[in-house]
Amino acid sequence: MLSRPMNRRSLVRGTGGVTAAALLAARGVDAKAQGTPMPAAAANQEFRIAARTTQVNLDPHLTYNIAQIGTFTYFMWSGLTKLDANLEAVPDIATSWDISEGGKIYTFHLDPNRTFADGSPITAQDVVWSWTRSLDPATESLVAGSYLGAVVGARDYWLGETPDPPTSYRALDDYTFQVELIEPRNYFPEILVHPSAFVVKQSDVEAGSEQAPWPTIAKAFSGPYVIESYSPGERLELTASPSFPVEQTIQRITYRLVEDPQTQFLLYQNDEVDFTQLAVPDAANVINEDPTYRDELIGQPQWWSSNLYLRMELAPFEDEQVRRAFMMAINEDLLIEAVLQDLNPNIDGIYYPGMDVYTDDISRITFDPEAAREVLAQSSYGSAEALPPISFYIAADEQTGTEARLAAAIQEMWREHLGVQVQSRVVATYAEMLESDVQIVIAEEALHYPDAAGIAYFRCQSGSNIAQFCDPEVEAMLEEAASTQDEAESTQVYREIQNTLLDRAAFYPLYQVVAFVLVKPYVMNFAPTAMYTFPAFEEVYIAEH
Amino acid sequence: MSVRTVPVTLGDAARAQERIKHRSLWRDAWTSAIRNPFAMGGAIIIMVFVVAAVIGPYVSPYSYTEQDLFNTEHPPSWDHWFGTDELGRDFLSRILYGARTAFLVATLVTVVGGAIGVVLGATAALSEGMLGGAIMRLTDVLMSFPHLLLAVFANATLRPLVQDRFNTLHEITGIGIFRSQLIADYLVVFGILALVSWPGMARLVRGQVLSLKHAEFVEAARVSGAEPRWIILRHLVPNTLGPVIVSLTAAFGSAMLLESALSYLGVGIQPPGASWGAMISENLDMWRYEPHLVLVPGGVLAVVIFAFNFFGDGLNDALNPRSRRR
Amino acid sequence: MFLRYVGRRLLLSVPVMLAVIFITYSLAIYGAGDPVATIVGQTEQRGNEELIERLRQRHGYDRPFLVQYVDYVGKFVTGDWGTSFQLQNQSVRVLIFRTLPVSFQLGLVAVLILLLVGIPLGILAAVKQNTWLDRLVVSFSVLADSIPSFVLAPVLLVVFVLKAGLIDSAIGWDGIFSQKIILPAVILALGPMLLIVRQTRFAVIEVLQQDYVRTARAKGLRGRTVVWTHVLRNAVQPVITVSGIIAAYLVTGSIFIEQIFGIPGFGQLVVTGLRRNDLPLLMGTTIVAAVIVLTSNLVIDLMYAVLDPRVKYG
Repeated sequence: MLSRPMNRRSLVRGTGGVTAAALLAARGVDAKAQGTPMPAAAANQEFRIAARTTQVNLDPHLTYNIAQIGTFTYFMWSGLTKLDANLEAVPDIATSWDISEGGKIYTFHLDPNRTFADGSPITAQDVVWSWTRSLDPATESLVAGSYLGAVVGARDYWLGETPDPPTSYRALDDYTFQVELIEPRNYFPEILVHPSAFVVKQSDVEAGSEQAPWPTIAKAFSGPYVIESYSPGERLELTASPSFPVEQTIQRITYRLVEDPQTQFLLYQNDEVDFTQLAVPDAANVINEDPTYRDELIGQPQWWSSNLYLRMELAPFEDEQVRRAFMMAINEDLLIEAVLQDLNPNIDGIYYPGMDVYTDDISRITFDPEAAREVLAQSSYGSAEALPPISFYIAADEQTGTEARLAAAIQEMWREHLGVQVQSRVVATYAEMLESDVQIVIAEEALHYPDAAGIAYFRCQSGSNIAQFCDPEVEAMLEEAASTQDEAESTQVYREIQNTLLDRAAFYPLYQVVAFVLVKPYVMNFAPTAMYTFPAFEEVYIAEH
Repeated sequence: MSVRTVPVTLGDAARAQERIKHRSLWRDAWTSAIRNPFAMGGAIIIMVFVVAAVIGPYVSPYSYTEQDLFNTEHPPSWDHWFGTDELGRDFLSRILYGARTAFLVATLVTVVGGAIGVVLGATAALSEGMLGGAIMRLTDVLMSFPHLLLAVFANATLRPLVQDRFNTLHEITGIGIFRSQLIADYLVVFGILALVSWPGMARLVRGQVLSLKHAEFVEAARVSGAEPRWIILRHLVPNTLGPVIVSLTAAFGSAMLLESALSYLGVGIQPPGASWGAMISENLDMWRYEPHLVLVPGGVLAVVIFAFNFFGDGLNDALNPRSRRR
Repeated sequence: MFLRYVGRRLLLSVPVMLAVIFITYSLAIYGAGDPVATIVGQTEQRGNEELIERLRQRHGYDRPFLVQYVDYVGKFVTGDWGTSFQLQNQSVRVLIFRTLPVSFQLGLVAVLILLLVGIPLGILAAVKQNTWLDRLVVSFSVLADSIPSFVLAPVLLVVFVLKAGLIDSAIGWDGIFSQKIILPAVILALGPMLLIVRQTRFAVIEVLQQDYVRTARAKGLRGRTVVWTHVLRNAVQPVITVSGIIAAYLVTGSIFIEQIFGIPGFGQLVVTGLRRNDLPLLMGTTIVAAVIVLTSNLVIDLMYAVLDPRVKYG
């Protein structure tokens, strides 16, 4: 087909979270490896970021967006565990933990030297208070009870079904925190990297008012940086916390808050910021046309993908053959090349490269238009004409985005290869779509904690189960994989689940989302991970320039 | 010797006089309009635009929805005179189709909205009782909403509703037209644009009619016993026509730009429907790399708005004898 | 008489405001669907029926529409404008009052530019009517009017900041006296420029034809004095006429400009509310915007009545 010169762009293709970062970015790592001396540090260690948001969620218990969490929350707040450079959950406030025989009771041992930014120690009582505050219906966290749902009584309290806070988590003493789970969950420490489980100080939260939301006047930050000033819609300034156990080289982080991607790029070009996300057209241009910023571009595939769902409880997709036929008529390579401009790696399964459970030894449905027509003929409908009207969901606020373009292209492919005309249908909200009779949906799913259990869209009870897939056997397998402490066994079962899903033509994974960022050449050791986090930030520094 | 006198009332005389004045007003206007190169230029462009809108989509070599994923975002070439957009659709065809959308805006929004505005405004001015006040309160309410807010909000909220109703209607009646998302789309967007435009027109017309109500020649006509309807047609219309025409042509520009703003915020004409404003907004993030995708619809839009403005100004100058010469 | 007029207008504003609130609230509830579902729908909890139901009850969205409406109006007049879903439950009132001054300052500078440039241009065009200068001025105004601000802004940013380097830093907000305000205010002023130029030109042309101008000329007054005194006085009137439109424009026109220039103003808040159907924010910003428009219309009508006694208080 169309051949293109091999260039940086192809390095982006899914080689996994950490390795891609090593290939493309981590300036300084190469220098270290070669034995050349690292560039000297500049006098002013200020890191300037252009962030694509105008309102920053400063309260960790009310932050939901992965990009916000990685860009802001992890700098100000900490929890019992954190993500390291390999995206595994490692100790943070908790230095170690014991798991009971049955796997239901976790006992965390907190670091006795760990303090808030105001110098007061972080105790187990603070953890208890934070979790209760996070789950409190008055706090109105949209996700807390879901992440902490494994904890006895948490979900009910969060949904307001019981008035009293759970007693299943408690402080055994000042630095020992114990939690009781409903069922054994081997990924519980992984869940705790999510900010809804992070630690805040009671006196700070209670000092907040209508005029001054508590984070803007807080003193007791649990993370490496504290807020120096916040100008909503304009900028946020953080300075290094004096009492964080690991000393940070960067003393000051300044965020310029702009909503418009072109403006972000302008700030970077005008040397007003050292780091920015890049929108797709700009990234495409940097990769394919204009080499000016090519060395400063990093394209990091995320643990975040887009799937095509054919809803199995609605005609005609209750027939597996019809599902297979439709999937076979999709020319995924062409989609990625033409609509996505080769900027996104293909993804074949439900797990992401870089995860322990990931394997490329899977079989999936590939593009084969003749076979597609045959399979359709063999289905219970027999032909394209016999199919009922089919509609494709478009989110009301996404009608000009990538998903819409993909949908248009895929509709065209079905028309060309199967002779089926699929209509677009705009539905106002996600909830309405779930209840409607729209049969085809493209939706993105991101992983919020680094474990296969976080992929939920094929669980019977999941709100993300657009495809209406529900299989008790799979549920049983999921339970097994989640409760055993034997990692090898767990991985095995997760892989079987993946095979089952692919065999049944339940989903069609489309592509992996990529985070494109620009980093100035004098920023050392800095690159995002596949969960858009920036681990080992203490090693980042500004070189003389 | 008896003198036969033909009974001549003041009204008769006035009517005779008026007929002469009337004829010469229009004729004068026509001659002066022809002499104005800008207005004529505008008129020509408008005619080209109307022709393009009506027959364009039939003569364009490609369908405006036909995608060619192998040839996306190409600059202008012999195959595609205006290049291709991000899905490989022929840009020229989309521009021509956009002309149709713009034409619909011009007629539906400007004419219909304008007509409603003129009728309601005149009614408000001429009626003596509560009706006038009620109409003005209604315009107050609608004008209190900043246009963009109301338009965005209404589009975002009403579009799914209307599309739902259309789907239901289609299911019930089976009429093909309801199956088209495009029609529902157009209906919502243009309906709301018209909704936003008419109050301004009504206010303007009311103001004009009010001030004319007390002008001398109207008083004279009324005193001489002429009927109100005649007064409206013969006096008020020609004298308010100038500002109203200017306002209408300006309204066309505003409506097009408002639609463009709606698209920028994601609530305008939805793809695959094409409108110049939507094309500008969709391709704005690529303006540095594929400038033709923004310059062409933007340029065409500006030219047509220019044409309408100059034509309207020219008509206004022509109809208003005082502004014709220094 | 005057006070009675003012009082009557104020009184009439009340049902207008109530209607505005009613329309907005209906659109929000019936049109876009549940604000709670929309907000939850953006998180990974979308589809969690229990959560949505719980939040709906908590915020009273499961009550009959009229009950909600009356409750909202009652709370609004006592200063409780609700909290924003999107923005971590911050008070809508605090948000609005924090952002309004910023947009106001931006609008003020824009209006200054508009008047200082638009009125002289209109006068110039009228004095040189039908010459090439007249055509140029009108063409320039029409051009300014036919390019959307969100197209002009990125282009001018690249040209002035990156290419020409004329402005060091144009993004963000440093207050009314900083260089950052120049570019956004200029672009904001370009929108209504056509209106001002056209109205001024028209009014001045009218004036120049008037008898009393000719009389004054005949009396031998110097041409320039004649033009400037009579013309200026009459040029002001149409400006007042369109000021209502301008006030409304400044409230909404700044939406795109604030977004592109990263200015923490009222427009930004409006967009946030619109994008996610954040009901309390949407209601608050729409009502405040409507109040601003209504107030400025009232002020303008009053000024009009004061200046031109022929207009009946009707």
